[in-house]
Amino acid sequence: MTTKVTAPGKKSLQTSLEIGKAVKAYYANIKEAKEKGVPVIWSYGLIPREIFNALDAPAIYLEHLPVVIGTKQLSGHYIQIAEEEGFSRDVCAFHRCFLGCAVAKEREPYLEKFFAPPDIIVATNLPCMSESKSFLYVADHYGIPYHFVDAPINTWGSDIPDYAVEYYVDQLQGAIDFLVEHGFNYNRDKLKESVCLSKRLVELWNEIDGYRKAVPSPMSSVDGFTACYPLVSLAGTQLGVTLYENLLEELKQKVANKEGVLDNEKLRLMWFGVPPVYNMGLLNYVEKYDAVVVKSMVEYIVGGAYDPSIMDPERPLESLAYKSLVDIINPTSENMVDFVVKTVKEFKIDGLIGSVKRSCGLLPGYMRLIKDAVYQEVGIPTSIFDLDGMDIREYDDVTSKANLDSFVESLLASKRK
Amino acid sequence: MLTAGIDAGSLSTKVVILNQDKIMAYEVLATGIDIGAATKRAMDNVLEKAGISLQDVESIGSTGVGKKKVPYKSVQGTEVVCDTKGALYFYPKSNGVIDIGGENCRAIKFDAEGNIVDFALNDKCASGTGIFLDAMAKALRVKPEEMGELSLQSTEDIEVTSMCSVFAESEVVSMIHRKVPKNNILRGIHKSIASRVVGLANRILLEGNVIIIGGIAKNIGLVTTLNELMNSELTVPEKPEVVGALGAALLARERKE
Repeated sequence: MTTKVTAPGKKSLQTSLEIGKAVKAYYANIKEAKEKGVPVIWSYGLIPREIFNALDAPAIYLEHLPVVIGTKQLSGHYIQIAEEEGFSRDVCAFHRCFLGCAVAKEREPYLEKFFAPPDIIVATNLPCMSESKSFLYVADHYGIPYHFVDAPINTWGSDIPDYAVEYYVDQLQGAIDFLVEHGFNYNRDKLKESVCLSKRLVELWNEIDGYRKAVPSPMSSVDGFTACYPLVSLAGTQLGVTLYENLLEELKQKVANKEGVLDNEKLRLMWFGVPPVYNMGLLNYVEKYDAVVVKSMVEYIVGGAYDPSIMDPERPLESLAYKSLVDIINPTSENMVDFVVKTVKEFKIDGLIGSVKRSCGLLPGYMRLIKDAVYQEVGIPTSIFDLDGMDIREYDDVTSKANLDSFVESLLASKRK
Repeated sequence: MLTAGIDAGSLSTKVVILNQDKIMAYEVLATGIDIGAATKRAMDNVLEKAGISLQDVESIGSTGVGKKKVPYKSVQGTEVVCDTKGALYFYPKSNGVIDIGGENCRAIKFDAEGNIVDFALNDKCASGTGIFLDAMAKALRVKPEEMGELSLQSTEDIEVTSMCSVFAESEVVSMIHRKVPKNNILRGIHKSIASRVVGLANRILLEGNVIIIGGIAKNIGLVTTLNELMNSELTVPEKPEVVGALGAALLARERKE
């Protein structure tokens, strides 16, 4: 399903193209492994990627496959298929999208490059329980083994108690044992190496963030959305580290040359919620006002917002357990709210855009808290409006742009005074 | 300085001529399918009423859903900005505005300096907008301008869904079949719209000196219900339907200066 009003986002960085190639290569490798008879795992990003590295297990992540589908404006078609299977519109649009793709009788040739049917499911309740149910349906559909990893809901902020870490370590060990039972070989040294590389990846991500705080902004969130891919799928790999080293160098150059996304940057915006993956051009729309979406919170979800010093290769599973539990998507309101406020301050944000995906059971709940906190602590306004970042059928270009126009104009009017 | 403001709305097109701070003339016409033609007709009429020609107008501002199709060179402003300017023109001490248009509804909060503090727009749903009210008027076979007075004569509080105008229409038709008095149905319809509007207003914590604008502000039944639900006294300006156009004229003047 396509509409004339949507457009891909304009990327401005060379490294974004490299990451795009890495995405294609990642899926090509999975398909190749599948052809060689290696079982393909379907999983979720908060099951640490490093574990799959240690098992040499090809894994497709639920968060990412729908994004691939969505950017090609195919999400509506697959969501429709899921609905025809009986999934309600209230089920997460990401889940409906991958469910539709999983059960579709045929897929577009483009998508076949990315799609490898699952042989094993490793599901979790982090951050939302509905994901594990959706995976259960896929497991049933394909008649394949399903393993559930139970993650404690973080109610402690960054101070995770030992018993919670220990519990999650047991759960992760259970997943490893399950995969070993299904033919994979576990290599603890590889896990330690992966933890080392993961630590380096986030250190680089933090350095990159440091340069992204520059005024004018050297990188928009359109590039940022692509740039966060290694956090999800390439954590604990040398390729992920190399891509971030390249990105860092590119940004250093831009900042040294005072080269911004816009020549005359007047406003810096931040996006909270899932941006429209089928129409990332909407983030460029505000550029006509000399405004740039500097950052999106999605870039931090799944591994982008933790302190890398917690990663200890000698205690790999404990490190990974902590990393997952402290992730800002693990539903502790304060963690997320504090993080947004901190980001707004550090990136000198003028306005926050909160897009609500109604089928999400998690992020919309933060909106009010974040709006209030950002206004009370930093004096920055937030505009909240409905926009399903995955389901293109729900998209209304006129309303979305009217919201952005009104918000940006009011910010500019306040600035003029 | 003579300036003109155009509010090209989905249902009606409004044009205002402003001479310094004074409204010289205004016109309100149905938009129909051709926004450009409707705007031109409204502009011709208002110029004639003011006794001036287009050449006398130094600057034109435009707003509304059809602002990009206005056949005049104009300064474009969003409805949020123009509503705010128009509201402050009528009531300098106001701190918020509720605008119920044909297909849109918005609540805006601003400070004493006219800075927009927050706003909320309806999503892509006709509930809580003028077109919803028009559909209900047709279903009940009453004139839209009579709905307000009739609803004030209601004897019973009944509920009409506020979530979907299509379902609401079915609900109203079934009430008609059950011989529910029209007055009561109308009161339920107003309550349905009002609850959506109040939801928007609450989202931005709107309270204090709030004015209500848009053609629907002339519906006394809806305004009464809104006052009850908001627990406040909304102010209806003298010409509620042209506040956005007036704001556009003020914007044009500001930019010219």
